[in-house]
Amino acid sequence: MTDHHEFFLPESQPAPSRREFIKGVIASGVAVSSVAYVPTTWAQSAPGKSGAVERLLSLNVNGQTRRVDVLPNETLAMTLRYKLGLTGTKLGCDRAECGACTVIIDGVTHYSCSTLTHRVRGRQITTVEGLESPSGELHPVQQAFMDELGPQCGFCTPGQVMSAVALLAANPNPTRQEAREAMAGNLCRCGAYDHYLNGVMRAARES
Amino acid sequence: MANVLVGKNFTPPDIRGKVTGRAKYAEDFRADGMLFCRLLTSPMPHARVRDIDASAALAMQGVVAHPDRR
Repeated sequence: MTDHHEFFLPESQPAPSRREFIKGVIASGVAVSSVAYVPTTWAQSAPGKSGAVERLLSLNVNGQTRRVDVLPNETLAMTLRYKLGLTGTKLGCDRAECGACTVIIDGVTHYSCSTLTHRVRGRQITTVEGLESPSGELHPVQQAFMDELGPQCGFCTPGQVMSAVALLAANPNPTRQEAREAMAGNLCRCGAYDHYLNGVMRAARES
Repeated sequence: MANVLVGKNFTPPDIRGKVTGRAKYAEDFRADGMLFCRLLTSPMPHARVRDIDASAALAMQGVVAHPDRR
């Protein structure tokens, strides 16, 4: 927290009072929205700045090998969305709270907003764009979410889909409680949790 | 209109885009030359802003403009 506090509020006192601290939390909450985050990261990529050099690496995304220049401090969500154009992966909170950025790495769900791209070299990354069959047929989870009207605004849906896909790959016949626990890392502001759960159970039945 | 929708099953036209990640939200659009803005809000809970000295911000690399109320 101290790091963030000082980063976003360089004028703040070294030993913040409780009131300063609360203000800091509020201010950094505003500053860390993903829109504001982009120019900061890009500005750091400027040549001549020490410690921020892009390095070319190969990523295995949705079965394809993609070559991309990556900063040392770049998160996987940033790389996927703004360098590889895979905007299906959403950035909700950018701090591992909401799960909108969930992707599957070697069969396990990860928050891509809190995963450094350099850490996933040589791993198999699956995003929501990689679920459909080559013929365009939806993954059973995607079809079930449509049938159960899971999405309302739809912003959390790609993350919900990825969590459900990883659950069913590991446990094809979960109980409703197991599904609930597997989906616990994905927040939905519309409150469509039961619809998503119905979707997971339908996908388990039908796949 | 009510007779068209009430009591009938309805599939939202954009739901397929939502489950495939193809639906575009505000943050998913990029245009050439697009600028990004960032809010720096007052550190004071209740005060009158008399002046804003943006010279340090404008001197930073990549900063294009500082829009304010003037």
